[in-house]
Parts: sequence; structure tokens; C-alpha cells
Amino acid sequence: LSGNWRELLTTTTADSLPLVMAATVSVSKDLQDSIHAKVFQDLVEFIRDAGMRSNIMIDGIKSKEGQSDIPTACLVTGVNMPDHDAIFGSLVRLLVDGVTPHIAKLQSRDCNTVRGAIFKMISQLMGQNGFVDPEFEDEIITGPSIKRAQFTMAVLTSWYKEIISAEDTRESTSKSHGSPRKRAGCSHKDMGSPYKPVGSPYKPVGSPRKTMGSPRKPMGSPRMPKGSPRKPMGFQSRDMKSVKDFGSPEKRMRLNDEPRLPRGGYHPPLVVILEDVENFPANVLHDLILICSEHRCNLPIVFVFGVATTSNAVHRSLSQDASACVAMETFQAQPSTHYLNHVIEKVLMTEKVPFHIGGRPFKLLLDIFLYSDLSVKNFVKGLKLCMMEHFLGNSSTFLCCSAPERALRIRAMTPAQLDIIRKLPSFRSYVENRPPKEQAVLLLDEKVTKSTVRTLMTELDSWYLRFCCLVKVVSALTSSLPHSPLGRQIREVLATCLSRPLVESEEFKEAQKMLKLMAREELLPILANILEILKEQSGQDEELSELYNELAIMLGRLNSLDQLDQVIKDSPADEAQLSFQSSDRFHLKEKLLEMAKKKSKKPNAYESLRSELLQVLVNTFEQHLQLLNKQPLHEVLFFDSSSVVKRHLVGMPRAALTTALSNPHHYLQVGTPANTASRLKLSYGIKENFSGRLRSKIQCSLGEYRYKSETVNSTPAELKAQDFQ
Amino acid sequence: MMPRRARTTLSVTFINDKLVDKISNGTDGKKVTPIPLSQRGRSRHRSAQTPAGDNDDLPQLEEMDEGINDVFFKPTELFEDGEDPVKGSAVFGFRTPKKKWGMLEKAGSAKMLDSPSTPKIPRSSLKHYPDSPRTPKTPRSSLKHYPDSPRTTKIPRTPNSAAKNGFRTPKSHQRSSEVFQEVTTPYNFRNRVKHRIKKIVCEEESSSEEDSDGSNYSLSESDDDDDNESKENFDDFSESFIRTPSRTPKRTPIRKTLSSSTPGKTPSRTPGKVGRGRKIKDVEMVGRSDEYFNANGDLGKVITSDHTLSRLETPRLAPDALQSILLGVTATHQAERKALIEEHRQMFPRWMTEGFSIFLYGFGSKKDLLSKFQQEYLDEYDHIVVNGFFPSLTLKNILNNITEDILDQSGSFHSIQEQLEFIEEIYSKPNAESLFIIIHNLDGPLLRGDKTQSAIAHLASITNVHLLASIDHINAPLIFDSGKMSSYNALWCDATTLAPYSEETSYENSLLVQQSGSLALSSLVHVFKSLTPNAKGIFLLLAKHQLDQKDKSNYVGLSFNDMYQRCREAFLVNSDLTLRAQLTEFKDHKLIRSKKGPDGIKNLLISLDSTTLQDFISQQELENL
Repeated sequence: LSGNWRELLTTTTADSLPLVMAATVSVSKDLQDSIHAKVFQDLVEFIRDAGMRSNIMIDGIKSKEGQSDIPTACLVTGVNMPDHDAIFGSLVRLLVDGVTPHIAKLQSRDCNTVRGAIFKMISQLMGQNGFVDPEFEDEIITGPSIKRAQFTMAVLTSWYKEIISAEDTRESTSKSHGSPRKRAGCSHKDMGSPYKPVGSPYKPVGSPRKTMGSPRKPMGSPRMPKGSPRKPMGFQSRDMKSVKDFGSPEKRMRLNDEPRLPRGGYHPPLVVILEDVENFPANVLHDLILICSEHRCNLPIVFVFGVATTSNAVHRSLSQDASACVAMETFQAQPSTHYLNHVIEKVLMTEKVPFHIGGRPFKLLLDIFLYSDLSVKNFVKGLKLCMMEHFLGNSSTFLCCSAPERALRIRAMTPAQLDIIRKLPSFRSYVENRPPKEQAVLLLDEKVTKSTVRTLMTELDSWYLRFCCLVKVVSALTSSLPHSPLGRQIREVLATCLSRPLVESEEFKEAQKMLKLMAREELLPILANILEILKEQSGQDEELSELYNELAIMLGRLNSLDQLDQVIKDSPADEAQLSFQSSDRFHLKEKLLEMAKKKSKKPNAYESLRSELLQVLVNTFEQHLQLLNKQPLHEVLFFDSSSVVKRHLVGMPRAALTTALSNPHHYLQVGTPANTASRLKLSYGIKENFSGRLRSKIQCSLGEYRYKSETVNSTPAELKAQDFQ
Repeated sequence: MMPRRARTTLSVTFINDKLVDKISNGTDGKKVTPIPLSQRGRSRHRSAQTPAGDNDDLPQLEEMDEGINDVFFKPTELFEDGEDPVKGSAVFGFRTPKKKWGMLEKAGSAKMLDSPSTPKIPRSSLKHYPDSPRTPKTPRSSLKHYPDSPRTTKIPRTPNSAAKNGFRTPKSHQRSSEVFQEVTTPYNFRNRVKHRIKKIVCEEESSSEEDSDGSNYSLSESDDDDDNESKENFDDFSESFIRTPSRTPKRTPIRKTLSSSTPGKTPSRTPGKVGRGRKIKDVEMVGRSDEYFNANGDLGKVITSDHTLSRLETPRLAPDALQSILLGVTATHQAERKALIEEHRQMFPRWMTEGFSIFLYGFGSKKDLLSKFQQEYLDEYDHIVVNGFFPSLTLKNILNNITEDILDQSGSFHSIQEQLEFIEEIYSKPNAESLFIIIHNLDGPLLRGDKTQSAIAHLASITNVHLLASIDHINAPLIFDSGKMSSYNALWCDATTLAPYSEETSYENSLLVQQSGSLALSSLVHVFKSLTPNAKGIFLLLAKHQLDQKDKSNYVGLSFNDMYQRCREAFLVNSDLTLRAQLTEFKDHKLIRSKKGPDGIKNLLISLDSTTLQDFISQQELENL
């Protein structure tokens, strides 16, 4: 397949497109994991903890409460459905690494009946064991070969018992090695055996769990309530003692009675993930929960519900008795806008991905994201399409690759390629601005051109880096302003900066007005913030470090204003006292007005410093936040045409149909007068018998047909003949 | 003039200066483009700079910690008007030509075009502007444009805008009409035009209630201000009407420059290849839900044409007759259509793009195009072709095709899910062969179901499976939700071919061919001839009764007892047994149906539509005479 579109590309470009795409995808995937790291960590802990508690139950010591309550994590994921697959994928990966190999991931499209759902669940639970744990393969060889009809809960139970006993015997033989399940590549190695259950500091044995599964905590901070018990994982063993005090007395006693339990008795829970709970048929969900709760005493099942809206949706769709069986806890995943911000920062605002996007396509992608689906997956898809269009449609993109690679390619440029570069409009205008002597050399001498291209490309890179850094600075500066004229997110500032010169834009002027009135208490943290942003970049760029130094000095001056202020401040006070002698009210008013004017004329030290600071910043912005098409060779790295992408991403079938019917010469491109056109429409309307298709259009056409027959006063057959001539 | 509509109210919207500037600059400076002030939705999309209050009801999509009152991010790029976009109102609305003599006018103007002696003045106004092929204006709308101008002058804008627009007072009218004295228009022609316009205006007045496309015309509003002005208005109209010739040349260059100034709009489309001189411009449309609801929301005025086929004398032809007529028709614009297809062919390499499905839309059969693609590119790959329009196609067929014919897997599968999983397992391996699925009409009648769609979407999302599909139904995108859309991972391509849907529609019934009706009629006549006179009478009695009741939508049939009474009165039967025997015979020949009503009484109904029945009865009456 790829061979075919590669024909379109020069060989060098063909290499970079997949590279760039792969880089984008991998970056966004990594981000996916890191964005949700927090909530995943909570989830994993919850599941481990739930597994531990059910272990205790299964081992014969029936606790009095919560026997049939299935611990359930309700992960509120948001409405960006397309992204959810990826979210749960990485959750499964985490769980397999750290908690349990027995995971079933159910999707509503597989579970139209209870039977199908159970089958799917059991086959996944049992099948995955063999897949993940090659060590156990010989013992559970029966697993995958069981026939479909035999997938019952009883089979599952006996299978699980087998596993447990097998594990126990293994445990006792290889006790000295610690947990046998600790595998290489386990990401939780550093916290010891992942199956060490007592270490988990979270002991929600208290009553809230019994309250019918209603969400226990407010959504905003789902897992914060216990304060100290929720320590980072690394500290587990150290905190164990203090943590124990949090457990219920009953449990603590039990732990004291059986000191061996944590090591030998822990068995991995069976995790059942329902990706889109809202989509499940209510009766299937209901039966599934009831069946699982029946076997709760034998199987440590834990549910994870993926909910797009709110956790209430689950209760609404479940009946009383089913929702009584789940003890639900709500976890809030990060909103996808948050994820998007990271993707933009890591993919678009970096030099690591050589491809950059211009203002209009960027705005388009943002619009699609914010106004249609909120799905980062689709955003990345749009980005990929932009890349494709960029690489396929622009022959100069053979230079669009990472810096070291580019140096090689510039050296190896053929004359034809050089010509392509020379023909770029931005390069031409660059040449025209050179002195005439250089012009000739640039256009004729290969070596000079190459070296110029090299320097220009490097400059372009560093310009973009500076650009992005300054965009962040602008965002830090203006995001807290009232009404946020430039928007609160970096992405909005970026969109503005990419599409027009910032300093000239209305929005910035408005922001500037407000900045001029900013109080010191507000300005100081902003300035500190800006300095921090600049500090990150200043190592790489001279101009930014210059700005950094300048601003740092100003910050120092701002901080030391306190002493200065008192010195300056005394003289006007005397004048004011003098003027109060006037007894006339009118005069007094005038005087006061005058004084007010005078005062405003004379800025105090802070005000002058503030305007100085702003001037510095504005100057910098003016210099660097220019439109990208002012940069020579920008065509190589920047994609700046939205219409092609828009056409492919936002299908307009309806508009195309209307145009084709009402205005066919748009497609046929004949200079037809209107009459021919309508006749064409008519003939199509009649000739193609679309009873189901385009009904309204046909009626429209037929209406005209009718008119025509009235007018011409002939039979339809005649009319048709006339029409088709 | 018609009495005023009580509902009409004048709405005033404040617009800022920039907008006013934009509007007055948008035209040639003299003519004021009317803003549809009465339409909130339209005025919003006009520009992103509409008052902030207008946008407050947009969904708040930003981070949670953000304030409530401010929406910052306006979707300018997604919703902005491209150059000359297709108007949403034109797409969503149901546009019946409402002017009664529109065709007559058209014909008249065409005649005028032919005879050189007639002044060419009305031509430009009655017809399309020849130089602006992209504006799909019906003659009606171009006519309607002119009556607008007086109205716009009377809309009280903000004082500021009024000043800027240079308020066209009657004075300015006079001035401009002086200019038009230079154009020598025969007096009688002007008179004629005047009369015609009067007529049009009256008609428009009465029909503007059902003005579906929300066009800017609302004369009545201006008349609300001053009734007595209407007479003057007519004069104004004729002046502005006749004025058009000098205006048109002014307008057209602007349009020309508009279209020619953006040739680089699709720079990357088929790079390096020389196609036709002029590339097809993209059809741009701004899909705003507002416009849809503006066009369709008002349930009170459902506008459908009653000019149905059955009102014609010979509404339907026999299949053979239609075929023979169609055979005599030579396809028009063949060269252009060929060029169109050629242009689509240049996009073929793009369709091979990895990781995306391709959805083709646009008017005309895309079957040939896809077949061409299949021949040229897919020869060495595994591929299956699915005819989605086939009336008995099931998902199982498609999957079996893949598993049996391509994967040579003869074993049966328990369920579709299982089969899907099997396919997925094979094709998601990194070294698996590519499989191409071509679906003609992804929106086919049997593929529309939710389960089928999600299964196909699932197929399309497998790594080495690639989908190319065409859609034709006007509402086809409705079957894809966001989840499916993202599994499809589709790129939309405009593939308008204007080719006949001959194969796709071969399974469907034609509107023009006489349906079962003709068959039933002939068999009816046949059976009828062999009946006894009494039996004939019984049937005719039933038929006539049914025809009398044809306007009742809930007519269930004649009850048996009534029928018996009537037959007895007409001396057709002497006992209910004979009647029953007779009815059984009718039933055996499928001439009538009997159905039990809610009250348990048998109702008798002739299962033919009323037109056929009417034909039958008139035929019988003719024979009896």
C-alpha cells in the first residue's frame, strides 16, 4: 500500500513523512499515559486494594459487611468517545503490569445479550492468563480450549480455585524469591511486590462503602478524603505502622492474628472493565452485576465502569437491587482539553517535530475539536492529514526533517532540488532584499545557495523556538486579565499569533490597556512566571536570555520599590492642604479636579517602571512575534492552507448535492446559460428514478416540470422529448 | 394589496460599525446589501465580531476553572464563510418555485434573447448573470433582490450606520433615476415591466408567508411603517429595476475578481499535473445548525409542493414506454462529464493513503469511478466489492465473503462478533496482507442499521483493512455518530460525477413507471369480464363507495352488513349467503381484502389506489354506454 503513494514522493520525502507521523503519534501516546497518570494510579491502587479485601473474604474469614458488594470504580471519562479506547488500553497495560493479569474488557457492541457478555467476560478472564503468564501454561491448558457452551461462572470459579492453589504451592516452594509473579519489565518493581496487600495504606472499610454505591465523594476531588493515608507508593513500607492505625479495629486484629496472610494469601483480582456503560442494554448490565455478585464470595471481581457523562447515569439505568450490589467510587479523568494542551505543546510548539502548522489550519483543527467532538484522537488525525497534504503537495518538503538529517540533505541537494528551493516565494523575496551582487550569486552559485539555505533553516528553527517561547510569555502575561482578550489557554494565544502579528491585533491592544492598569501585587507573580518560562529557554537562545536578564533586573527593581516610594512621596501633600482653605464649594470642586489632573500626570515610581517593563515586552513581541510568512523558507516547515484539510475533514455532502442539482455547471464547467442548466436538472430529476434518493430535490425539480408543462401546454412525453433533444 | 399579516414584526438589531463597513464595502458602494435582520442566526454568522451577547449561549467548552461569562474562542475558521459558500438556507430549505409565472417569464426572456430588436434590459434581471455561474439563483430570487432596496433604507439602524450607509432617501432615488434616463427604454416596455412587477410584488406579498429559504425579502415590513407609500414604492421598484443594466457590469467585475483572485486556493491538489484549464472549486458550506432550524423549524408552515405527478394527465408510463423514451435520449455534456471523471481520477493516488478510509459523496453514480479505481490500483491486492444498494444484502454476506473467499476459512462462526474478531485477529498482524473493501452506497437500505454500521466501522478500523465507500442519500451522514466516525477515520471527498444512477436504482421502483397499479388494473379488468352481471354490480358498488370515501384518511372499508343492505336495495343479492360466496370469489382473485375492525366487524376494502380505481370505473362506464 505505502508503495503506491510513495510514487508521488521523492525518495527523501518518503522517509520523512512516516517519521514525522510516527513521532507525532508516539508523542501523543506517551502524553496519554502521563496525562492520566494520576487517575490511573488511584485506580490501580483502588483495584489492588479491593482485590486484597476480597481475598480476605475468600480465605474463609467472612467479614460481616459488604459480602456481595462488588467494588466498582467509576471512571468518568468525558464525552470524547473516540479517545476512550486509548484510555482503557493504557489502563489495561498498567493493570497487567502491576495488579492482575486477569482482565476482561467489555464493549457494548459485543454484549447485546447476557450470554454474550458472560462469554466474553469469562473467555477474556481465562484466556489472558495463558497469554500473560507463560509459566503457568501447562497448568491451565484447559482454559482456552473450553467450548463456548461451557463458559459458565462455575467453570470460572473452579478455574480460579485451581490457579489459587497452584499459586499457593508455588509460593510455598519458591518463597525465598519473594513473589513469583514479579516479572521483568514490571513498572512497579521499585515498590516491592505488587501483591503485597497490607502495604496499601488505603483502608476504606468504614461505612460509606455500604451506602448503596452512591458516589461517595464529590466529583472534583475523588480520592482526597483520607489525607495522610494516601501517600505516594514509594513510601508504603515506611508508613506501614502509622497507616495500620487507620484500619478498622476488626481488621487490625485479623492482621495480627495472621501475619503470613499478606504474602501467601493474596490472589490477583478479576478486573472487568465495561468501557461504555451507558451504551450497555440495561437488562444485560443488571444481570451481569447480579451474577457477579452471586459469585462474589468465590471470585474477587472488581468492576471498572467507563462513564461518559456522570456516575448518576449508571444508577439511573440500573434497578435498585443491581445498584445495591455495586459499591461505587468515582474517579474523574482529566478533561480532554487538558490533554490537547499538552499535545499542542509537545507536538506543535517544539522543534523536535520538524513539521509545523500555520494559523488557519491550526484554528480549523481547534474549532473542530472544541465545537464538534472534543476528541484528541481526531485532532491528531487532522494533524496527520495536514502533514500528508504538506508532504504530498509541496515539493520543497524534502528539507522538512530533523536538523542533523537536514544538514546531510542540504549537502546532497541536486540542482533540480535547488531550483525548487529557489523558486519558493519566500526565498525569492529574501533574495530581492539582498544587495544586487549577492542576488546573482545566490541564484547562480550552488555552494552559496546551499550555505544560505542552511543558515536560513537554522534561523527559521531558532525563530520558531523563540516564537513559541514568547507565545507562552504572552499567555502568562495576559491569561489572568479580566475578560482575557487573548484567551486563557496557550493554544488561543498561539492561534492568534500564528494568524496575525500580535502587537497589531485588536486583542492585544485591549490587553495592553488593562496591563497598564495592573497592580503591583498582580504583576509580580506574573513576572516571576514569565521569568521561569524564559529561564527554560534562555540557555538555547541569546535573545531570549537577554530578555530574561532585562526582566530579572526589573523584577529586582520592582521588589526594591518599597524603600524608594517613601522618599518620593511627600511634596504634593502640602499643596493639597493649602487648597482646602477655599470655602466655596464650587471652587473646591474645581481645585480638586485640577489636583486630580496633576496627580495623574505625574506617575509614581511603580507606574513608570511598569510602563517601562511593558514597553520592553511589547518591543520584543513586535520584533519576534511576526507572521510566519515573513520568514524566508517558511514553506518548507509550515503548512498553511486550511481549505484542503477542511474539505476532507468536514464532509459537505449536502452542499455538494445542492450545488450539483441547482448549479451543475459548477461541476461541468460549461458556460451554460441558466436555461440549459435548469433543463439539465430537470432531465436528471426525471431520468434517474430515485424514489428513495434526494426526495426534496426531486419534488423541487418536478415542481418546475409541472410549471413547464403548464407553460408549454404539451404532454409530458412531448415535453420530455423536447427536453432531451 | 393583501391585508397585512398580523404576525410581522420589525426587529431591530444593533450591529457594530465594523460590520456596517463590511457590508457597505462588500457591494459596489451604492447598493446596500440587505442584512437579514429578522434572522438572528444569520446575523450571527455574518461575522465573528457580532456583539458578545450574541455568543453567550454557545456552549462553554473551556477548562472548568474558567469564568462563566466570557467565551473567548470563536470558531471562525470552521464556521467562517469561505469565498462564495453554499448558503445553508439554500441547502436545508425546501425551495419550491413559488412564483406562478416563473417559467413563463423565463420563456419570455429567452425569446427576448433571441430577437435582437427587443431591448435587453430585463434580461439581466430576469436571468442569471451570465458571468456569475456559481450563484445558484433562481430567477425569482434575482427578481426579488430589487424590491429589497427600499426596505433596507427604512430599517432603523443605529444612527451611526445610517449615516455611513448614506441613507437612501427618495431624493437619492430621484438622482439615480435621472441617471437612468440615459438608458433609452421604450415606454411601453417600461410600462409592461412595471405592471409585471406590480403583479410579482402582490404575489410575493401573499406568498412571502411561506418563504422557506428565509430570503431577505419582506416588503410587508416596510409597509408596516407607511401604508401609503406602497404606490410610490412601485415606482421606486421599477426604477431600481430598470436601473439594473448599468449596475450589472459593475457587479460582475467584482465577482470575477473574487473568483480569479483565489486560484491558489487548492495549491496542493494534484500537484504538477495539468488538468483542465480551470479546476473545480470546492463546494464550501458552513454547516450551522441555526440555518437548519430556520429552514425547517417552523412546523406551522410546512411547504411542500402539491404539484405531484398524479396531477398530470398521464402521470405514469408503462415501463416499456419509459424505457423506449429513455433509450432515445442521448446523454448531454458528455465531454464535460468525462473531464470531471478525469479530474477525480487524478485523486486516485491520494485514495491509497494509508490509515484513512475514503468517503465519496456528491451527485451522480460513483460506481464507475470506484470500479475504475479498483481496476487501476487494486489488482494486486485482496479486495472485495460490496453493492450496498442491493436489496437483500446482509452484514453476514460481507463477512462471509471475507472469511470464505479471501481467507479460505470454511468453518462457520457462532456469531458476527466472533467472525469480526477472527478477521481482526488476522488483519491486525503487522505483516498481514492489505484488504480493500469497496462499498458502493454505504448508506444502502440494509447497511443503515446501527449494528451493521458499527460492525463495518470496526472492520474499517483494523490496521490492514482499508475502506472506500460512497454515499448518496442526502441524510447519509446521520448514520454515523462520533464514535463510528472515528473508527471509520474517514476523509471526505467530493466525487460528483453527474452520471446516471442506472445500476443503483435498478432495484428500486421508479416514480414514472406505473407500479403494481397497472398490473392490478389489467388483471382486474380481466377478472371483471368473466363475472356475472350481479357480481359486477356488487364490485362496482363497493368500488364507488370507496371512491366516495377516498378523501377520508382513516377509511377502513365498508362493513359487511352495510354492504349487504346496499346490495339488497340494488337487487343484486337475495341472501347474505350469496353475497358471501361472491365476496369469497373476489378474495380468491385478490380483488378485495377484508379486515376485522376494532369493533369486530368485517370491513371490505379494494386494495387499489384511488386513481387506478377511478380509471377502472370510468373505463367501465364508457363500456356500458
